[in-house]
Amino acid sequence: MLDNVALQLDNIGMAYKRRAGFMRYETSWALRKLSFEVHSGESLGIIGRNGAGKSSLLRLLAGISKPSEGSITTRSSFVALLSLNLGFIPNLSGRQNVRISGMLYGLDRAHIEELLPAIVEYSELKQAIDHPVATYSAGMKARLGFATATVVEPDILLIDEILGVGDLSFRKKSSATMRNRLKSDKTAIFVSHNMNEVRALCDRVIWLEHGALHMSGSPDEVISAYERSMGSP
Amino acid sequence: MSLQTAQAARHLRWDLISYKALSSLQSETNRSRLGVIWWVLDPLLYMSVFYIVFGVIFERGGPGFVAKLLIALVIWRWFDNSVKTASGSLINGVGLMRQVYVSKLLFPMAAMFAQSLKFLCVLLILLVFLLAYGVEPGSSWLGLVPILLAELAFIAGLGLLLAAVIPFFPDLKTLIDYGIQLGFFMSGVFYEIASVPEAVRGYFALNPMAVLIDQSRQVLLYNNAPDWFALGWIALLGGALAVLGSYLLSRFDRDYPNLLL
Repeated sequence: MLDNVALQLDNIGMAYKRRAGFMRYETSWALRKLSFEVHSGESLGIIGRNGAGKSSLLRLLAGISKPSEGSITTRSSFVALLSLNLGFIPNLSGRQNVRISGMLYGLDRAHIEELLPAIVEYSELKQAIDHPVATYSAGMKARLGFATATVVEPDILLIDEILGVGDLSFRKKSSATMRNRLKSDKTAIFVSHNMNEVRALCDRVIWLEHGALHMSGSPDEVISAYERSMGSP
Repeated sequence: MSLQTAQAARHLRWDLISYKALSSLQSETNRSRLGVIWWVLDPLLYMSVFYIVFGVIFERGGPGFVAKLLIALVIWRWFDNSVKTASGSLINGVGLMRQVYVSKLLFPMAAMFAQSLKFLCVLLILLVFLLAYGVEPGSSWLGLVPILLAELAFIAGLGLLLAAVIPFFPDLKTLIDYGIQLGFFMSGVFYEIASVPEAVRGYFALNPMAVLIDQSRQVLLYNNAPDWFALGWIALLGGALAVLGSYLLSRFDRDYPNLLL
């Protein structure tokens, strides 16, 4: 593996078994014969239609599931897939859920306690932080999840469409935070359907189609081709 | 370095297990109006049901029956609740395991940890009850410690193994629940091993739960020392099953998220 490569995928295949009747199973491939590299410090965008295999790919990269074929090589031990409701338990308070999420992201207890005030501050939940998450609105939950995700500092950051959440003012703040992270020299992989964001934030874009690499290149090039194929100007 | 070895560096975290166990207990408590009172009330109601049926309606047992029954129920319930929640724990945890990588040992361990905390609370009530009932405490009560350790090993063994296997055959869960039900009637909860016909007594000596219930009565009510040989093989059996279960859980660590769709 070359020095500037953070992550390397070789001929990745990901198969799911599906029940197709009594005691019968069918195999469908979410990803097949997929190879690419991610360079250290780059922000890679992944685009494609629904069902193209983007979420399956992120789960493989996060180490959640393992490929049915091929191999993934990396030198980083800390890869994190950001999520807006990681392990949330509705009956517990926002504060307790931050602790749980933080531990699931791999932070240790003492570190979480240190970061808690900043997370609460960022979420703008004020005293609601001690109310059960079940009483939160969807926007409040998203703010809590986003605020927690901002403190996670992995070697490789995986993001699935969580740039802007909450109401208008929080959306501005959260988009700015994410932009800064993606613009920094951290390695990041970013799945999105928002082409303007991908164009603005990514150094390189990969277009997945039916679980395989359809096109790879500069954001402008790939996104224009993708938009043409989708029938929009 | 492959991604898997890189991630294996973030292995099982004990603080996460205990925190998950405690928060699930707290969540359960927050959901009900009476909250923590249920910790005591639930086992009391459970025991009352059996007392009414077997102590009052059938008038079984004779002197000391209530004490014998309650000891058996407390010992049994720990096993029953722990194994049942552990065996379904991966299925219940599928949402989480598709969001983030976690060691799959987390799910059964946290489930068994939570049930064991509840058990300790019930055990305390049982001991207080025995004193109030007029049972003389003695040094033989200390024999309960190795008995409970053997039971813990057996619970951990069965819990981990079932947790590992059930995602492959979800239908097994129903069979297991009936199996545990059958075990309840065959482990001498309502009767003593000494009262069953000689011919079938050998079977009871091979049933770990029957042995553990009988041993608990021996040390708590009859001032007898525990049977070290019996406890030894139960602990060994539990340990062996636990090793097998943990092996399967780590062998299929990254297969479970896709298996449980």
